[in-house]
Amino acid sequence: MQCEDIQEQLSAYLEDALEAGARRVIEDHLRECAGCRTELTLFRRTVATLRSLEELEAPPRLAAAVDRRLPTRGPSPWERLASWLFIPLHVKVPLQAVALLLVSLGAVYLYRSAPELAEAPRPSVAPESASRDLHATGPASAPEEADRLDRAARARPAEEPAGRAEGRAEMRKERTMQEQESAGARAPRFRQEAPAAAKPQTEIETQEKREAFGDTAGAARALRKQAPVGATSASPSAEVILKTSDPARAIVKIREIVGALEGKVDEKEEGTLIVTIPAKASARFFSGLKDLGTLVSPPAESPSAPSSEGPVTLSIRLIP
Amino acid sequence: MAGDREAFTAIVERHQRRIFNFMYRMVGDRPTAEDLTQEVFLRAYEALPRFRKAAALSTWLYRIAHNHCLNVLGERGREVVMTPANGSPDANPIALAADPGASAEQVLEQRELRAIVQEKLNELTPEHRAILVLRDIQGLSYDEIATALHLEGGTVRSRLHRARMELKEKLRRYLEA
Repeated sequence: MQCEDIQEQLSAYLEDALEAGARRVIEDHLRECAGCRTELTLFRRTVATLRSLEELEAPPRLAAAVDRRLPTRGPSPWERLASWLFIPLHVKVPLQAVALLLVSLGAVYLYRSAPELAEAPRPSVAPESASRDLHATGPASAPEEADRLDRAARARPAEEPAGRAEGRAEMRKERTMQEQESAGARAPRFRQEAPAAAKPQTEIETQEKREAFGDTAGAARALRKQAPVGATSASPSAEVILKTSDPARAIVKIREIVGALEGKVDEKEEGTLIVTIPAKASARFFSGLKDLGTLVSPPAESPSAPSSEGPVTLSIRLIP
Repeated sequence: MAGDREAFTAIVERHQRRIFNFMYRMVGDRPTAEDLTQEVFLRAYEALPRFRKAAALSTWLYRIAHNHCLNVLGERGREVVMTPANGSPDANPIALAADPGASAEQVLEQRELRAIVQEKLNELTPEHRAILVLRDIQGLSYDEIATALHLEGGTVRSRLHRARMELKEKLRRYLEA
């Protein structure tokens, strides 16, 4: 092994990091090579000198100097949020009170600036007050209110079971039939009964229908009946129930009569016709109806009212 | 936060002596070494959230110190390295270095020797100087040096040997007498 190779391993030799064989080779060479022994001595003195260098004490107050130079970090967003949440009550409560006042003022302003909110239907209207309000409602808004109450009545299945309502309707119908039978073969009841009765027929009908459909729906139907003839041509202003032995023939005849009166007929559903005729032709139309069967439930206000103008829309329900 | 600062101050107090000595041997000047040591700890404070506990804190601090030192020396060159002028180049104090029973005159010579060694250390490259300081002055293991200097184990051994050989040649005239 050459001297250079030996000297390359002096560090490992001094640190005793060589295997036994490699170490023996170096020792054999050193025993014979004065030059490498000198290099080993110099090498050992170099390392020893380095290891003899004294360790200095750290400067005093170095840690304090470092601490002074440390950056002062601001609170994190979470720390700021936490500090805000836990601000003193004497500050937080007035802030919250002001915020509540502002929200309330905003709500009032919004309520006043939006009329539809002020006029919006209230969900918990008592039936009696609803009826009273309906009677006091002006003519122009009556049909709309009736439709709204109709929808309200349909939305009440939980309060008024359908079977119970139907039962009431049947009872009412039977009672009507009995009354009619007791009246003989006279003309429709609304023509027969004297206006001096304890209550007008309209109110009687209204009360009966309230019983049949619930107060709200009954009030709606009564309102519809009270609507002035010709107020609208889109929805029926009165409902007529015609009892006939041959509904199919009656429909054909009604179409003929209406056609002769220059009106029009729409079949809304089976057994129910929507008839629109001129108001002045109402008398002739009802006269024709009587020839087709028995008018079970004629409208209280006769379409023959002399003051009526414009078209009249009637709902004709045919029952066998 | 105050708690973090107190904990970090405790870290500084525990490791400041090692880092300061490393810096002193690297630059050969106490005030400069003190400034650099402070800067090392400031960098460590900023980097503390990224510290991985797989490495020893002392090794991690050595790595920061070594990188910072290389950066500073690269920027300022050899201005920061002070050359002690007290040593007499004609003296031969090396042979007395390891003698604990030296006389007062010999102790003085030992001081001169240390000054000479520091002077010769300063003439080495920073890489050779760093590995000599860490191994032969501060006594780190090869693994710790490998971690601190981000080197392979074999590279540590070969670099250390070359650094010793280079320093030996620089001290030869003092060592051969």
